[in-house]
Amino acid sequence: MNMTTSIPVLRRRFRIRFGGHPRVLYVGLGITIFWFILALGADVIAPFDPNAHDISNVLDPPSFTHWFGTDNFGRDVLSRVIHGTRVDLQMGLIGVILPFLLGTVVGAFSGYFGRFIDIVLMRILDVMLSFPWLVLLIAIITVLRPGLGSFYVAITLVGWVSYARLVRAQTLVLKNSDFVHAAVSLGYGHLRILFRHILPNALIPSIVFSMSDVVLVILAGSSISYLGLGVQPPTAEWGVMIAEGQNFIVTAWWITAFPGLSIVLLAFGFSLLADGLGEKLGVRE
Amino acid sequence: MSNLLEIENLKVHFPLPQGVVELLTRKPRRVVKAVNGVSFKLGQGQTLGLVGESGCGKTTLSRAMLGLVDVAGGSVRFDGQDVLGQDRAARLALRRRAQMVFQDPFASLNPKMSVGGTLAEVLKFHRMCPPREVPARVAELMQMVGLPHELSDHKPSELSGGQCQRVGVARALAVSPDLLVADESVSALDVSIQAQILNLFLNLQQEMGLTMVFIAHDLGVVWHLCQTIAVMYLGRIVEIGAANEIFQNPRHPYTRALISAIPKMHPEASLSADLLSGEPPSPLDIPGGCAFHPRCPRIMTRCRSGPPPELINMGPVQVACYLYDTEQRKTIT
Amino acid sequence: MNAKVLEVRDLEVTIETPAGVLTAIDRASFDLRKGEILGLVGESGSGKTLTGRAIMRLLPSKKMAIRSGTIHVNGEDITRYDESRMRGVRGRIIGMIFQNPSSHLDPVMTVGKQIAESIKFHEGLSSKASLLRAAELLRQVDIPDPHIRLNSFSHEFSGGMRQRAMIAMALACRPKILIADEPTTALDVTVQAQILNLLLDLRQRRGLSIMLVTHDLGVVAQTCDTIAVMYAGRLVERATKKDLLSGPLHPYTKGLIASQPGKTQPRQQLPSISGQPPALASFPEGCRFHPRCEFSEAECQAAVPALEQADRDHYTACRRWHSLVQQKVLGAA
Repeated sequence: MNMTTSIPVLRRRFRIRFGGHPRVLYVGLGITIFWFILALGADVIAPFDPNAHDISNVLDPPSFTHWFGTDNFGRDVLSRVIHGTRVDLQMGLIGVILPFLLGTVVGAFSGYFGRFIDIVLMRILDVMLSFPWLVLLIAIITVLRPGLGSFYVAITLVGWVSYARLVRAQTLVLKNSDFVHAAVSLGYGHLRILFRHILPNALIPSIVFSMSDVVLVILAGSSISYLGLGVQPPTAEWGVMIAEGQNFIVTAWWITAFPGLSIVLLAFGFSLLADGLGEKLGVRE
Repeated sequence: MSNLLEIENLKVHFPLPQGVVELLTRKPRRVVKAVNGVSFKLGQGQTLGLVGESGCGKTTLSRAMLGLVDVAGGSVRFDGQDVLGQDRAARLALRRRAQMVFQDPFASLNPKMSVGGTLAEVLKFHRMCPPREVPARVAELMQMVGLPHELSDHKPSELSGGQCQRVGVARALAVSPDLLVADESVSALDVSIQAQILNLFLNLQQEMGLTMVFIAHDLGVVWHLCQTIAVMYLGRIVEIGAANEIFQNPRHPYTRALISAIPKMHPEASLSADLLSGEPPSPLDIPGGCAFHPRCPRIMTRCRSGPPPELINMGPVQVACYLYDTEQRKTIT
Repeated sequence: MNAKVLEVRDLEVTIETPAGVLTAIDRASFDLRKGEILGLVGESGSGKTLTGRAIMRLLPSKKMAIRSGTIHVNGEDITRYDESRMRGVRGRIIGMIFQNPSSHLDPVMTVGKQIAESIKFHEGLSSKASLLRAAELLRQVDIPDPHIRLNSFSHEFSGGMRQRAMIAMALACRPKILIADEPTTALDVTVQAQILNLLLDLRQRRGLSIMLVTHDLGVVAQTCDTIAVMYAGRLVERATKKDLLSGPLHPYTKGLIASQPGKTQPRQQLPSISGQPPALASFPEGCRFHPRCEFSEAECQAAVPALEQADRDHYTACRRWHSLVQQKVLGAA
C-alpha cells in the first residue's frame, strides 16, 4: 500500500463527502427530467387536443396560437409532440427494462454456473449478434402483428444480448473475488450468493449501458413506427409524425422538423446522463 | 486432548484445460499438483503456522481443510469426522465449525453491504440467535474485534484496511467456530496496523481457546503467533515442529535458507552469505525425487533418484530430508 | 565523507482535490551521497513513493505538482528543468525500478529490445551495439544465458528474473543514482535476498548511489547506510541505520520498530501504535503523529515541528525529543 494505490481510496472518500458530480450528469439529468415532466403532464401542458382535426387551419406555419404550426389535418403539432413524448419515453423505458431483466438473469446464471449452460447461452448469443439488429427487429415484428406490443416482444428478444454479455463478464470476475469465497465458506447457497452478493456488484456497467440503450431503443421505436410497423396512426408518436409529414417536407417543413428535433434532444439528454453516470460510478474515469 | 484436525496424505491437483491439439493427440493432461501429500495433526487450542513461498500450496491446503476445493486423494478429518465427500447438510455443519479470514481486507467484504449488514446476514442465515437478538449480537461481535459501534452503518470503502480486516474476523467469529484459518491476513496491512491485528488474533487464541491455522510468508509473524510451524515446499511439508526449535535449529536445508533470508532488524544486520540460488519452480513441473534437490546445497544422489522423502521424526521436529535418514538418526554435518 | 549526488531541500508536492489543494509532501529534505544506500521508510500515505516519483518528475497524476523546494543533482536544480531536459536525466543520470516488474515491462516487446531501446535513445548506438550491451547488462544482473534471454518476453521470466531485467533496464545508460521503489515487496523472501544482494553488489562495482523506498524495516536494516522515516507527508527522523535502530529519537520510529515481531516474547501482546495513518484530507494540526503518540502534549498540536539536529547525523522532528531522552523513553536503550 503506497501513495499511488491510495489515490482510488481518496477518490472514494471524496465522493462521499463532497460529491464531485460531473457537470455532464446535471445537464443530462436536467434534459431528461424536462421530458419526463412533459410526458407526465401532457394532458395539462398541451394547449390543444392532439387528435382534434381543424380543417380551417390546415398546414399553418408556426404562429402565436400554434407554436409548432399545424399538420395536414389541422392538428396542433406542438400538442402532438408533447403527447408523443409519452409514447416515446414509454418505448424507451419498457424497451430497456425488459431486455435488462432477461439479459441480467441469463448472464448471471451463465457466468456463475458456467459449463453447459454457459456454452449453450453463449452460442445463442453469438448467433444473434451475427444478424443486423434492425433487420432482426423488423423481421420479428412482421411475423407478429405490427404494433407496439410486438415491438416490445421483438426488442426484448433482440436486446437481451448486450446485457447478458455485460453481466456475465462481471459475474465471472466477481465469482473469484474474496468476498464471494467468504460467502461460500460461510455456507451460503448459490442463489443467495448470486442475487445478494454478486448481482448488486455486477449491475453497474449494465446500468450505465442502459442509459445509452434508451437512446437506441427510442430511435429504433421511432424508425419502426415510421415504417408503419410500430405505433399506428393516428396516435401521436414522433416517428409516426415524421412519416406522416414527409409528403409535405418542402411545403410544411414544421411537421417533420419538430418531432425530429425532439428525438435528437431526448436522445442527447439520455446520452449525457449515461456519460455523467458512467463518470460518477467510475465506469469511465 | 483429541485432535481437532487430522490430515492424511492430502493431495489437491488442478488439471489444466486442454487445447484442441492436445485433445486430438491424446496427450496426458497437465496437472498442477498444488498439494502433493500433506499429513499433520492439529490439537484443540493449538496454533499452527504454515509458511512457504509462492507455489508451495499453503493457500490451496487451507482451502482444502475447509472443504472448499475438490481433493484428489487423502483425507481430512475434522473432530473425527470425514470432511470430504459429505452431503450438503454435513458440509453446512462444517461451515459453522471452521472459518477463514482472507488476505485482502477490502476484497473480502461485499462492497455493497454495510458492516452491520454483513454480520447480521451471517447470524440470521445460521440462526445463531433469535432474530430480535441479532443487533445486540452484532454489537457484541464488533466489540470483540475492537471496532467502534458507529462503524456498523459504514460500507467497506469507508473503512481503513485494518478496520476491514477486523470486520472479516468478526464475520468469521459470528458462527462461533472451533477452527479459524487466517490466510495471509496481515500481509496487506500497514506495518503499524499489523501489530494490532496480530494482537487481536493472540487475544482470540488465549481468551477463546480458538484453534488457529495461520498462513503467512512472513516467518517473523508466524514465529510470534504459533506454537507449531510447518514449512511447505512445492506441495509438501518439509519440516514441521515446535516454533522455537525450527527457528533456532532449522534442519531442512530449505528451512535454513528461508530463515537466513529473513531480514533482521538488528542495528548491525547485514545480508547473510549463504543465499539460495534460483527460484521456486512452478508446481506444474515438480522435480523428481526430493522436489528441492535442484536448489539444495547439500544434495546427494538419493535426493535426485529416490522417491520424495517422508517426514522423519527428530524429536521436537519432523523433517522430510534424506540427510537425516540414517539408522541411528544422526545428523550428517 | 563522500560528495552529495542528490540534495533534496524543502520539497513540497501538492494534489488538487475536490476539497482544495492539499500538501502530500511537506518540506522534505534529505541527501544522498556517492555510494550510499538511503532507505526511505514509511507506511501508506507517508508520501515515500511520491517522493521518489517527484525526484524523477514522474508524478502519477496531472493534479499533482511540485509547488516548491529544490532537487539538486550533481549541483544542478532539476526542478527547473523542462520536460525535454528531464528526459535526458531519466535513465541517464537517475534510474528507477518499481514494485511490480510485470506491469513495468512491455509484454509485447522482447526484453532485449526494451533494454536496447533505452541505450539507443540516450547514447545513439546502433541496434546491434545496443543489443550487445543489453546482453552484457543481463549478465551483470546474474541472468543465466543472457544472449538467449535477450529474445525472451517478460512473461517467460519468473518474478525475480523480471526484477533483474528491470534493474538491467534502469542501469542501461549507466546512471549514477538509482531509485528503487519497493523493489522486493512482491517477491518471495529468498528471491528478495538475492535481489538485495544484487543491489549491494552493483553499489560496490559501479559506485551506484541508491535510494531505497520501502515499508519494510527489515529490508532497510539489511541494506541501508542511512534511514529516513516519513509519516503523513513529512520526514520525521533521519539518521544512520545503526543510530536509528539502536536509539530512535522519534516516537513513531520507536513504535514502528517495537511493533515488529521478533523483539517481543512470542505469544505476548506486541506493543502497537494505536489508531491508523491519517488520510490526506485529514492530516492533524501541528505534529501529524500527535493523535497516535503516547507522549504528546499540548505543544505537539500547537506548531509544526521542524527537523532538528539531535546528534551528529541524527535528525528528528519531535519537539519533545530532548525531554523524552532524559526520561529514557527515546534514544539508546
